[in-house]
Amino acid sequence: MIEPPWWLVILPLLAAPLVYLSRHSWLGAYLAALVSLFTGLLAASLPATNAMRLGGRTFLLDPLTQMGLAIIFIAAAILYVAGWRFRRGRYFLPLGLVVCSLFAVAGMSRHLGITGLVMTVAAIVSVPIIQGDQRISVRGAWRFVMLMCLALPFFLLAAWRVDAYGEDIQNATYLLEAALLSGVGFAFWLAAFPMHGWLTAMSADAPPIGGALLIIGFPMMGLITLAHVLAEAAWFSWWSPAAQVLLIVGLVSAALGGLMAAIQRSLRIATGYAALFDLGCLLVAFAVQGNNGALVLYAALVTRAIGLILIAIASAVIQESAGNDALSRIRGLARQHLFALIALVSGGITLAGLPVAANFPLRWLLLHDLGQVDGRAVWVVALAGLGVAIFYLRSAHAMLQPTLPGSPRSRAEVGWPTTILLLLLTAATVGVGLFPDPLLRAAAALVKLYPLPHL
Amino acid sequence: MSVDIAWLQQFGALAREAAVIGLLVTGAALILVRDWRLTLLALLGQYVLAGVILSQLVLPEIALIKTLIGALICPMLYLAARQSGWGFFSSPEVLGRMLAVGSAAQSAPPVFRVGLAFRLLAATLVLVLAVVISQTHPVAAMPADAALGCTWLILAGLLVLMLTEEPLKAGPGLLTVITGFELAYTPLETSLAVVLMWAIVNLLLAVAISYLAAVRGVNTADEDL
Repeated sequence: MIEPPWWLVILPLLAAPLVYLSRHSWLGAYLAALVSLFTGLLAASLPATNAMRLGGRTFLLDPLTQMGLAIIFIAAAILYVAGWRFRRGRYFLPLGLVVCSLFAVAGMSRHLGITGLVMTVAAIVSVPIIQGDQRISVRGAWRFVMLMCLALPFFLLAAWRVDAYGEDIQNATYLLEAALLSGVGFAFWLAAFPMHGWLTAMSADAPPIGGALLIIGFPMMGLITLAHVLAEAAWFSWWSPAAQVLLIVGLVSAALGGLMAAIQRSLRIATGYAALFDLGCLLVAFAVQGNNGALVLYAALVTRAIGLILIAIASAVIQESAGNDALSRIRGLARQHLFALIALVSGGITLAGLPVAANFPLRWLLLHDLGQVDGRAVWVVALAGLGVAIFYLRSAHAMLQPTLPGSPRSRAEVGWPTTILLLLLTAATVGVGLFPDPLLRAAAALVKLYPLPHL
Repeated sequence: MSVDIAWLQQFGALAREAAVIGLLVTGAALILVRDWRLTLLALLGQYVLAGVILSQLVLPEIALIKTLIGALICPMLYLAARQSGWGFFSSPEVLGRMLAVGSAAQSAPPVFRVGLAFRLLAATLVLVLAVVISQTHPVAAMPADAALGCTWLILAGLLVLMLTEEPLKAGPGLLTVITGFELAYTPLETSLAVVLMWAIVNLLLAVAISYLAAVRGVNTADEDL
């Protein structure tokens, strides 16, 4: 009999060929969304299971992985429905399912080497999603696959050192080496400075809808694996500078993301930097781990996904209509696509962590904890968040400007499902921003089920 | 009998040393040569030579599997290269049009952004670095000459990745980095699951490189004419 967690892998894989065959019609998008939504709900509702064995390796579906996979699958379902009218490449739907299925394997694996190999396969499979049938540039897809492949040796060597420690418990230097090696590997996966090149290049080149799935999924799986290492393999936290390194890398990533986002002139490129800023904040939450570190981290996985989906759908609508996502080309679009404008600004301020948006209460808790460690760092994070907000306010300003005479326009057909999803997600981000208690309670329950150790 | 074994061991060491010298040549070819056909030939030779070295470090079956995967990768890249522009740039009609708008050399896609002299100097420095690293940081469970081979492959591959982003040129560079790492890692981890996953990673990576080369090639051809 198949253990229930394996259905999270099998269902999307089984649906992928059917979705590929029906990819040109609405049926393919809705079938992919249905399977993804069902798998997401299954991931969220599965009871705790014992560890499973496959190929001599251990697999376990823990509460954190359950929540992470549920977020990824449900986010994918929303993107499939919202994006089927827009240019997203012929492989987005089937390969999106395959990538999510591989995320499930990687999340359940308890061997760092196997997790690394599966995530590398997922990255390679994502290449056609990033390219999205575009013939403009291959830089984003190439940088992504190259950096993900370069991360693999570090995870395999770290796993080898952990195994070596298992055979020679007296030799603790193995663990220090494992911590260093896996630290470098995680820097690649989490797009932490200076390995952030894949995130910004991919965001600049990928279609907004396909890129959003990957920008949500890959760093989230990286964070979940890092949490597994911290919670289940205490050796990582034995490495004394771990917290300091995480804090510095997180702060630099957040500062760079905020600064660069503020000066961009294109929606997709700015999204990459905004995502980098948000990832930097999550790394800071990992490092600080004050009273609310794990709480902020777990709740932010949800709000980050909401913000990125809002920005992706709005960017897709705008790009389809203007033929380009440069700020100079989107003048006057507010009249045609008011909901896209609202969604873009809502998503932007969600990532920035401004008041009324979903991330604000979490950012507030993070800054409170961070202030107890280093007061100056609070200013860095706050100013970087302002940089992200400045870009999205500039975008809104551009969309509200009168149209330049002679500028080409094609009236994009948005469709009522996309409009309803945009409204629902905007309401969700404002709702969570104003009434964060339910989200914080759910995150607190998860912290009890899967606590993170203090670094 | 003991004389035979000693002779076999000596022969094995000689074959390994010859294979390492071969790897130095193929790695240098990847850095120095612009022509994609020669690059792929060097890559194929590299997989065979890495297989020879691996056959002395792990079970011959595993070494054979890895060589066969390399032998599968090279035709895939070759077909992608054909589709993406070799045929295009070598056809008399297209060459004629290129000459009409300028020299063929000027119109050719910019494989490397730096000249041959710079690449030669960089390759020499990387070779020196590989020798130093392999002597100061010996690789576990590996003879010194094989360690030099795998260090050289990793560094040469990284150098190629720094010099170009053209998928048909940088792709073999990334595959070279992975081959170099596999050479060091395979003796450490011989479980069937990991060997299988490595094979999947290599084959899928070759498919992804071919896909990007096909996309990029069509693009470049349009831009250059």
